[in-house]
Amino acid sequence: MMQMTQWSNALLDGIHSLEGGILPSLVSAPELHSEGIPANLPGAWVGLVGDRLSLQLGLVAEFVTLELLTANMIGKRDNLTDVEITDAIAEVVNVIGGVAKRMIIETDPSLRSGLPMFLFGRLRVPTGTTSEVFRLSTALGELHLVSISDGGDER
Amino acid sequence: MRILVVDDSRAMRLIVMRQLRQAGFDSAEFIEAQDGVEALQRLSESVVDLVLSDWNMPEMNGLEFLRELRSQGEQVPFGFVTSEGTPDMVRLARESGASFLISKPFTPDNFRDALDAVGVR
Repeated sequence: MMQMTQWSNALLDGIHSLEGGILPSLVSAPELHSEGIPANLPGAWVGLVGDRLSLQLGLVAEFVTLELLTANMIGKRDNLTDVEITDAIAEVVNVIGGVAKRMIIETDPSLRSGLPMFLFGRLRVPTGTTSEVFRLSTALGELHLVSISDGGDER
Repeated sequence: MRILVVDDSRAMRLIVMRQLRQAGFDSAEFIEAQDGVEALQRLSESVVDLVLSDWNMPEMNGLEFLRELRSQGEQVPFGFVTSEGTPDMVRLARESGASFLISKPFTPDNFRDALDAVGVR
């Protein structure tokens, strides 16, 4: 059985893991955000689905913040295209999801990662799911890391 | 040295190439591909000294790409650079002919250590 804190810790490890090579000095102390999923913010999502767990992980923010994050990541400041931004942010959430998956794989060895996708609008949250939001204050702006889980009694 | 970098994310390909340069491969020539199908095409056009590939990609994923490569008798050193990295996937990678698996995120030291271990310098 996976506890909520185990998943939360896995996500936070995923965030902190970016601070080395990919995104230096990214994150200050994350805060758990109890106000629900921020409305209508763009961002990238990746699914982790197994026999016992089903999780959607998203990284959402104001578009200008996603632009800055992309610039920081790929080292290009000017004339960023939407394709470059959506690609970079999808990869960030993919990496965070991968780290989290490695930490919880024993809970559900059948867990598989999907391909990340970028959404310009809000993800529709199915009823009967549980969501958590971490607010991350960074030098680039505020980011929200969202997890939506449908693990039934396994959570 | 010529290195083929395969990842469906252009951003990640840029980061991999940047960190390889920081790891000492600053004079390497890089060839890029966005999935296994394109990578096989690149390999039909050029001889490379090393292949670094993502695992999860559309069209042809990294494992399928590696297996196709080995089935053709191609023995170029091959490493996965992937957000995956569960024990089962590491085992699958090795059984299929990969020399190493580097989990994202990574640092230049990860590349230096992995490539030193397989004699790629």
